[in-house]
Amino acid sequence: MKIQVLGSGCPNCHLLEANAKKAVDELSLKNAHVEHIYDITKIIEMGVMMTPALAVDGKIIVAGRIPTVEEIKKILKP
Amino acid sequence: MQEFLINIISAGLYALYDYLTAHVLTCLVPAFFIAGAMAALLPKEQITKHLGSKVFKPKAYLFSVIAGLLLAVCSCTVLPLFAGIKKKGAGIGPAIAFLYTAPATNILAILFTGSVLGWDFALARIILSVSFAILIGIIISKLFPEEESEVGAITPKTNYSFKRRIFGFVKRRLVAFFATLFAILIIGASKLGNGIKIPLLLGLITILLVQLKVRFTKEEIKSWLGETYRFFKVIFPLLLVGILVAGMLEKIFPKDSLGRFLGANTIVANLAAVLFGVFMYFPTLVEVPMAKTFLSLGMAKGPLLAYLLADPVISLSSILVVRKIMGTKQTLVYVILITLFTTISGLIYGVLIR
Repeated sequence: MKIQVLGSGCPNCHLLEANAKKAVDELSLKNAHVEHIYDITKIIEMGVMMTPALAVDGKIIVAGRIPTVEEIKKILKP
Repeated sequence: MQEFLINIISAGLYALYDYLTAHVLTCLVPAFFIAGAMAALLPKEQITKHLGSKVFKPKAYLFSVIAGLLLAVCSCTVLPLFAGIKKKGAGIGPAIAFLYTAPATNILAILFTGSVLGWDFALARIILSVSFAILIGIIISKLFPEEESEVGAITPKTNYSFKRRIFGFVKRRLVAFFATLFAILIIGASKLGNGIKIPLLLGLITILLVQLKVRFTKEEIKSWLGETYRFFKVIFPLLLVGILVAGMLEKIFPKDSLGRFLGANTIVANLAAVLFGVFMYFPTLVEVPMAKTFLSLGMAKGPLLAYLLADPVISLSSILVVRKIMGTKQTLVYVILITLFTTISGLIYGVLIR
């Protein structure tokens, strides 16, 4: 599972990244990998207008806000 | 010498005391909660979906301005949204309109301007910013015509059908919620006596709490308070330092020291004020106490408005970032247009209030 955090490096994006990592840890997902995309052109290419955003396997799940750890866990749960 | 230093520091501290008692509690505290609510609770997709590539142009401009007013309280959301509107959405014109409106009509800045410098300034700031945003957007899109982009932006689909089902309800509860918040702000900042003000405020806060309890989920309340706290943490310490410095500057420079250059409403004075705004970078909100210091040092009101209009919108750092997305030529035109428009509006404002 590929988990991507999209954001140009503001505090909000870092918070989302931390939440995503925590969610992965708490679910102890083995194949999950959290990646942070900083490049703004790449973020736009993925079709995101509001950062921070969260994508799972290339699909945008949340954009423009910071989901909580619980919410991310619900999304990632197999 | 020592006495001079003590004088300066005490002037700064006095300014801090003055702001903390007069403006911060009554205006800024509710304003931070409003900004937090905007960031956390407004249905953003409802606004950004009107910024796609196939949207009727006047409507796209309208929604760009609305997005600038409501969504972008934090500068880190501005650039992605700007780039997104330009490349995958309604095009360069609406994108520019958004880029301009977002920092210029930031809700915190407008409310703070109103309570410190007067509501005529705040109103002029909103009206002029919105008109410039649209005008400059139209001019640049005419100067640099571009091909329509094929692919529209994807908006996240999660909770969408759910959201639509309860949309009417969502809208009504948000309107009531924001109305209560603004009522608290207005009553708090009003000149009513404490005997009336405090019971009124307590009543309004009770109404707010009831609304939260009945109509909002725990998650929503948490994210509202979280956003409010984040704004506070980022903006407030810098603002305190800014007020302290502004208070000290007022003491260091002799009274009317700006009067000679910027005291009259001339083209040169307005242009100088705008250029000062471009080259000086102040953190969000700090431009307001600075402006107050300039005013008491003898700056005329026209140039002051020109400065307030230009300062948040263009700074050297923002010019560099915008250049990466639009290229040198368009950025240059954008900067020149803003300089021109803000200078002229300072002149006009200066004439009107005389």
